[in-house]
Amino acid sequence: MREVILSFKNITFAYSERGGRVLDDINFEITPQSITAILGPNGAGKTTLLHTALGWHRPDRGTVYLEGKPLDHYTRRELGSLMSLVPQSEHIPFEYSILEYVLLGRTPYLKPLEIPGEKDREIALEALETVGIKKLKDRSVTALSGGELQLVLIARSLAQQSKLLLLDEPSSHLDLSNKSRLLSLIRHVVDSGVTVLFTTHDPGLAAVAADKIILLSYGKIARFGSVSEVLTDDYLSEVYCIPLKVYQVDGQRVVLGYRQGATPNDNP
Amino acid sequence: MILLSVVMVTVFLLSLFVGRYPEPGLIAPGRLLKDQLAFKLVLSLRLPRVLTALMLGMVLSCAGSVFQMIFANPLVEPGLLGVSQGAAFGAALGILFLNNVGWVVQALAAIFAVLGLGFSYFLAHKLRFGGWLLRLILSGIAVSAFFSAGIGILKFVADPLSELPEITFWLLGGLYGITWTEVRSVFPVVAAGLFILYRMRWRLNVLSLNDMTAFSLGIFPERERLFLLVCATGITAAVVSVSGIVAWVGLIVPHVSRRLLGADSRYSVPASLLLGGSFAIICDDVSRTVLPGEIPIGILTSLIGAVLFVIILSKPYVRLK
Repeated sequence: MREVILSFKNITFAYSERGGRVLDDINFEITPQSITAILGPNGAGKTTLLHTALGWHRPDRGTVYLEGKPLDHYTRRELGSLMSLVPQSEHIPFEYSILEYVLLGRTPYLKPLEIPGEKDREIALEALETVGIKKLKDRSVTALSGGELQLVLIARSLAQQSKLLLLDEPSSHLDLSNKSRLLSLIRHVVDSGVTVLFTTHDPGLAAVAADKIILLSYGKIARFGSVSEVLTDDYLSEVYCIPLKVYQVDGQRVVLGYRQGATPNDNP
Repeated sequence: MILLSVVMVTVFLLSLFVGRYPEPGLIAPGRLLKDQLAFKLVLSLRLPRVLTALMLGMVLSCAGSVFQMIFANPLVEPGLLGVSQGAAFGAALGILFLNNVGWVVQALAAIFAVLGLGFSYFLAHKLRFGGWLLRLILSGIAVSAFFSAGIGILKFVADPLSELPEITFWLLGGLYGITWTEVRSVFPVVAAGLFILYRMRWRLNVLSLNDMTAFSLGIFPERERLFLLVCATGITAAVVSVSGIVAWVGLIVPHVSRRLLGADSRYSVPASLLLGGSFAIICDDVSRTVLPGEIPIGILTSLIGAVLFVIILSKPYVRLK
């Protein structure tokens, strides 16, 4: 049997009874050590899907399975050591140092009255080393740029030593160089055995970063498959409701929209 | 941390010798052995009083740290959720209608402090506005306003010659009536509460993050917050019931501790405990020594606290670590 780390079976979710379904009969399976992008326009339900995988939202119908077991069958602490989340942004109220902040990732391994020990500190330092900001460890997290903060958040989830890493719009605050740094970091993490699931509204990022893409539209899966299967002119144009075209540049897919009045046959 | 512990122990011991008997200032240790009265005074009046000041400072500062961390807001203090005003209302009620009997006033203060928290919590579930923490803070403000209106009414109907001064004095805080009885009634609650909060201090870091992040780190933030909130409020209610309202300690000391030892609650919570203890003892020493009469401690904590606060926060960086 094919190995599956995360699977959604008939997941339906709405925020309130009167409101519409944000997720509507979602089914997919993710294999270990893969990178999957959840792609779609704003409001398609990408983040809701990610938070449902985390267990934060309980689906109205259907079951989320992690390593073959329904999420409900795990304790919260077990889930903390299996899955980690890199949120889109984070409000940090106090001036923690970067190392102190990354140490928070060790929480699932600590009992309520326990305090992180030397081993936890080593793991946190290792995580900082991996993302390449170990020398900043004593700087305050409140004084970081958007890109550096993103790296700190990733380091924290690496310190969590989870099998499944969930990232919510990981590139939204990053410039081009930081974006490429993020991509190689994600690749590195996957090579070390982690599975990655991330949301993005940017088809270009999904194209370069992901192995598989879940294309979401109004809470439904419009298409799920490899990059070449999903990123086609027709699917993207339909889901984003504007004419879009996929070009191959140096072996990479680039997605462009048209200027108003231009036709698909004009040169980009 | 060692430095802070030494400071606190020194302050504690010195305070036993400070007072207005036999003359304002320090008692010579030699005299203590000869003078029976002085010895008795130190043992049965000063010791319990200094101990209570210590507990008061530790509790308010520690609870202040806890509140600021779990609300992720450096501007809150332990009396926030209707606790202080509830206690004041209960005490005023006791002073006015139940003949101002010491233990009754205390009990009522403690009961209404806890009721204040209960109301705030209940109300927060009913509000339809903002996130959970905002709702809780708003409910706390509403409940506090409700109780302070009640205090206003009680003050208005109180006898201006006997009862009104009592209420006012209680509202300004003071440890003048403390004996071993009060220490015995408050100590178990305080010791248990502080022990739990101290041991759970790492969790405060986690809870200062937003709910979803804390959740993703493998905990149920709302449950743990409620538990810590109840502990912190419980010990605050216990000390406030014997001391009256003592302002500012719970707000300033956590700030100063974070300034000195960083935001990480592994260090800032113990620092808060030690600094808070020393600060309250010193304020109480001043309150009972400087004038022949008693200066309400609440006035001193505000006065000294505000000055220290401005001095420390205006220095660029002072780290003890």
